[in-house]
Amino acid sequence: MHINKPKIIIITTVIIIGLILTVITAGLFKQKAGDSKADSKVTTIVFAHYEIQDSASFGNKTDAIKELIKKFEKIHPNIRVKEEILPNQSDIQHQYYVINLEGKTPNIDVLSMDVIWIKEFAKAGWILDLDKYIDRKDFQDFITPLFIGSISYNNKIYASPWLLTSGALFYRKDLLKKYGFKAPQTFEELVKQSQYILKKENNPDLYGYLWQGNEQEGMVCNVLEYLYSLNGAILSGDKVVIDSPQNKKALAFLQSLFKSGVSPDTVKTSNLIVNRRLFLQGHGIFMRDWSTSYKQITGKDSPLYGKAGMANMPRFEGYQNAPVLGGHQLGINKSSKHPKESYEFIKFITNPAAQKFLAMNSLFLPSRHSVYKDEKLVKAYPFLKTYYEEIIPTIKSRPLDPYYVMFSSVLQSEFSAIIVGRQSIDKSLKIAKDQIEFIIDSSKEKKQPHINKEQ
Amino acid sequence: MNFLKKISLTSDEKRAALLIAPAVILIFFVAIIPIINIFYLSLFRKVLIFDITKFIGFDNYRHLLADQRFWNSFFNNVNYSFFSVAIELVLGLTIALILNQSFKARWLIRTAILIPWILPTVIASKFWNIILDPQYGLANKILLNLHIIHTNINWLGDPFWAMKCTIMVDVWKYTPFLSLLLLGGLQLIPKELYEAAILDGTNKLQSFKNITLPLLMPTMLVALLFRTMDSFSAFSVVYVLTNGGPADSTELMSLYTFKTLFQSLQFGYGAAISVIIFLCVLLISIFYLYSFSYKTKDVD
Repeated sequence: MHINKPKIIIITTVIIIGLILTVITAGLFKQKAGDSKADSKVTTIVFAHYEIQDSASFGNKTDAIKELIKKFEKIHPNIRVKEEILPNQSDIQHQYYVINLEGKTPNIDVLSMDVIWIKEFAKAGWILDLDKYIDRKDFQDFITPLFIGSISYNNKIYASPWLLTSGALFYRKDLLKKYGFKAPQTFEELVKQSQYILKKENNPDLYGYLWQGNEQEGMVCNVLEYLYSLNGAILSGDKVVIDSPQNKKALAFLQSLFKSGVSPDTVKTSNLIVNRRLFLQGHGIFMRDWSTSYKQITGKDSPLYGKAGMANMPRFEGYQNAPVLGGHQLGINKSSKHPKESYEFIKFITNPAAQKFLAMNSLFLPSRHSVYKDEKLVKAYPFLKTYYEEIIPTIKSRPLDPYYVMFSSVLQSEFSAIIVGRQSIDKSLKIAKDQIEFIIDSSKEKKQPHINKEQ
Repeated sequence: MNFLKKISLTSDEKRAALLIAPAVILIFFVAIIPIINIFYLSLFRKVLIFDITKFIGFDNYRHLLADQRFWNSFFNNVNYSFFSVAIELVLGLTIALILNQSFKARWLIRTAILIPWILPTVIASKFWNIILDPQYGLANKILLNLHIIHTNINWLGDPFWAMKCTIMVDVWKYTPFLSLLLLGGLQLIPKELYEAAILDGTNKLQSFKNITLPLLMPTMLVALLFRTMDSFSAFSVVYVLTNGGPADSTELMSLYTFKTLFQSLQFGYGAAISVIIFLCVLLISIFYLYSFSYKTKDVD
């Protein structure tokens, strides 16, 4: 092959000159940026959270968190807050935190954590104990009984309550009214109403009851609401009691929803987004979702405006309502270089004024007594009053155990097997019991091997 | 220049050793050491985040043998690999034979057929996710309009269909790869052999059976080796399409490892599962390599 020497030399020179220029300019810019930082002694903290503002339904409004950050930066001119926005799915957020916190990254300061992770992160030593920062008097304003189990570990508080959410039932007011029904109080009523309306409407595109059956954390929340209603449980102290008769009864009820045609087969793999889309397009009579979706589903921008309502999760006849607690609470990364500034930000964004602002301008639901009693807010969103008075007292927590996230993956797999009908309830619960025991045993062994015997 | 001269003075073997040394060193660091490391890890009960590390010997493997979820993922994997590779081979060979003929716009077809393989797996799988959506998917729409089905099918949500759909996407994605390899093999076969066969009065089927297949065998085995190994550690297609669901009916071993490592954070146990995957892949490659050397000798 003939090689054109001069040509190659020219091309190489051009490339080399180009590279040198790039490096020089990049260096210049970097220096410039560094200079401005050093000048004003500004501390930058990173706030990791997921988007609490559903862009689809609040598209034309301003971003409430960004607005609050601007306000905060005005009050504290020497602190800058950078957002790190995480994907919406809880399992993926958890993985992101595990990798970064285990790697001791200083690049996250304030983290918004799902209620179920806080104990785990505290046990792993990844987040700061906030005891010395917390103002006890102000802390009374948080709806503490609801959160205290999740945010504390070894009698110390590791996170500040922030965003509250819980399981809730959405229903089609117009359809129920048409047939003379009221929002169902019990699951039995829900089934009866669905069957009746489905029969009368005779519309193949209308489904009775939508909920999340897809193999992920959201589905475990759904299932727990039935178990808890019948006073079932996963753990009792250190003992795994997942194979109790109550649990079997609750799971059998879930299976029966498909047999009776109340829930369509698609529910077996549906997640929140799929369900919401179906429901908003008028394909569902009932839907289990989170209370934070209230504005999105019943608000002015919703296609179901005026036609949909929200009620507490039903209960089994003669038993208790048991909507499951969700929501994100704020903590500080132990490897953060600016814990003081971080707490300053947490204090600001969880205070009544900020919570009120978020509640007015996003899907946020407050975690403070005083905010629910704020007249202006309640006037704008009357449902907050009923939510505070009737629903919040019935909310239940998922298992309060540092190992919960570890064994939730077992629950996801075995509950899914039951919902899909791939395995019998007895067999799935037995496998789940063995696996959870394996996880708990193997995680507890090292720390206090004799604790069980002594007790 | 001096350096090169020096080398050329040494024996052939020495030079060969020198030339393959970088590759061997690289493989040692990126493959052998991690494998040893992961085997070592699998002998521990290790929960990194709670700072638990305890030597437990083969306990993880003992638990593995009784772990129904592991066996489920193992048989899913066998099922997945066998059907996807078999279908890919048949389709790939057919396509390669067609492309080996000369016809108008052959270059266009050759390029077009590669598209599934060129697309990033995750993006392609996401497309299929949308196509197979039970309510809004194209697949149901088309089949309903053609009156092949009468109600929407939940392709990825029904344990009966989910595995078949993931295999189909795998086939769609990797058939081009096989047909490309096989096409290369076909073009290596000398034309004279076919001309001689025609002179001897054979028909097309006979020349396919007696010339094409035996001479294509080495290429075919290499292609099969690649695909089987790949599919035994397959991850992205299933992760995006079903994430192992519904009810673990499409959970492959790699996905179970991933979930054990990063969701339930059991590093020792997760390592034990990956050792099993490694052993499976190792056995498969030994099997293929053995039959490969056997077949090539046969052809010689």
